Amino acid sequence: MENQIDSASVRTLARALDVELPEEDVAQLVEAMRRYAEVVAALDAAELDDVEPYASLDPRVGW
Amino acid sequence: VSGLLDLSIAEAHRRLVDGEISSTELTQATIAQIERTESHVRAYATVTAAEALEAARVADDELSCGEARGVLHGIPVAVKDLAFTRGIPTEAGSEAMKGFVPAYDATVVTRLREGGAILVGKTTTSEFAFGQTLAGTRNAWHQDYTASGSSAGSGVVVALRSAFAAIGTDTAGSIRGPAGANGVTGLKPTFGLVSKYGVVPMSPSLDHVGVLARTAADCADALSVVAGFDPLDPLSLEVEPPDLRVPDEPDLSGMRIGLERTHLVEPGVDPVALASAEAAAHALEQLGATVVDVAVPELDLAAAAVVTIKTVESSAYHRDRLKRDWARYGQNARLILEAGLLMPGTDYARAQQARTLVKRGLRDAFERDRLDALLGPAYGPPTLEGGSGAPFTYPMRSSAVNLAGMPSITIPCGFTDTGLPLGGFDLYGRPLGEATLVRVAHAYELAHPWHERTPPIADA
Repeated sequence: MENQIDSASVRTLARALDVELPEEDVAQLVEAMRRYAEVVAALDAAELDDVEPYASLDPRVGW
Repeated sequence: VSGLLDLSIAEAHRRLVDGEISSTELTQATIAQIERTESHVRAYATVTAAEALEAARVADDELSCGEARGVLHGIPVAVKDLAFTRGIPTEAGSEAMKGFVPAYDATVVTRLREGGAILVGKTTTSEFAFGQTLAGTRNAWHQDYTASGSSAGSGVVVALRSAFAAIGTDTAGSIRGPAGANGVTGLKPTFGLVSKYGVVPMSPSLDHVGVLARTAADCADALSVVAGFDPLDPLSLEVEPPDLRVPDEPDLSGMRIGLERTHLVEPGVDPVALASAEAAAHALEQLGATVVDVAVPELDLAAAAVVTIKTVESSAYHRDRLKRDWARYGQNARLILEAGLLMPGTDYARAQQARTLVKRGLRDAFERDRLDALLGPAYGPPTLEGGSGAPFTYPMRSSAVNLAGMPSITIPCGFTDTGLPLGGFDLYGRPLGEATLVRVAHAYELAHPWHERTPPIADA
């Protein structure tokens, strides 16, 4: 995953999503996206097949 | 420190009602303390001295007529600069909001004013509450160290006695971090217990408004004033605020507290944080509680879920303004927002599923082990100023309580050999279980009164 995140891929993705990126942000955004990919790997690995698609925002629900 | 500023909120209230002291005296002492310490720490974004003295005069008039409006009547407090204050700048730590003066108060500010509290100023925040460090605001105990974030100013001013209590916000630890770093108590209440109306949002499904004060009892008193249903906030809970009065005796017999030693510990956090939690567990056992080891493996998903949800939600909120005005955002905030704009929607949806698992894991632990509270490590002692503060580099697991909407409290638990706060320990409660958390924290603080120490510059 990490290897796929570079300046070119971040620029391409931003263009596709109509996100304007200041040039001065690109290098650090690549680093940020790589760190995000590391953190979110736990989500990728999780088995979520049978989990409800939404969580109630009422903290009492389910208790 | 003026002796007045060392009073608990309850004792100051009693003396105000009995006419032994005046709100004007308290407010003057607080403003003098701000003037004495502020240049060292830069914890106030705005000081409202003239308005505060006028409000104190009104409070004194009311109190002298026997019109006590509540426990904060006449007591100086501060509010994080994310909450709208009518006629007073609200800039959220950002150039993008420079000069903004709201036309109305956030509900939390309205509640403070209606309760007779004296607003002495707005406390600093990292830009739009992003990040867990705040350049500029310094730690109350040693100015080479970080005050944590994002409610950094609120933690510092309470520690320095330049407010009796301060409002903070917590999306992923932003009340608990500054409380721990500055050696005060921070209470993040149940999601929806305190209105978010008029508070600049970060991540609406994770944001909590709460309080920082010197002790759990002071937090309880402040929370009792600001908590309660607000029809202006669609996520406000329609419940009666909990009764938060604390018992005089610190007996915890019959209480069961779970100790989580594994899944709340993150790489990079000072090991002293876990040692502090274990020492606190032992101290609570000595007060009569039964401590049991628990494991909540679902907490391993908390960081990924929190990072994804808060980043995407905050990017959605800021998207249009960022497009128009990107140069007025600081680069750190901008990078987080840009990252959020590039994150896949599927990550957000999976994060919501993970949120369900985390919430379920915590609930199951409370039910299975018949827990009254769960104890875990906080963030450890403050770190030196100048860390990277780069996006997605800070600890997030304890933000499980933001995912689940559970209340949590961070309690001071001692100092390092160099005089820095150890960072406290965390207690998590069942939804609307604030009274239990306050009772346990109060018992600990009576037996271990770390809150009685004052930072060196507070006494200088």
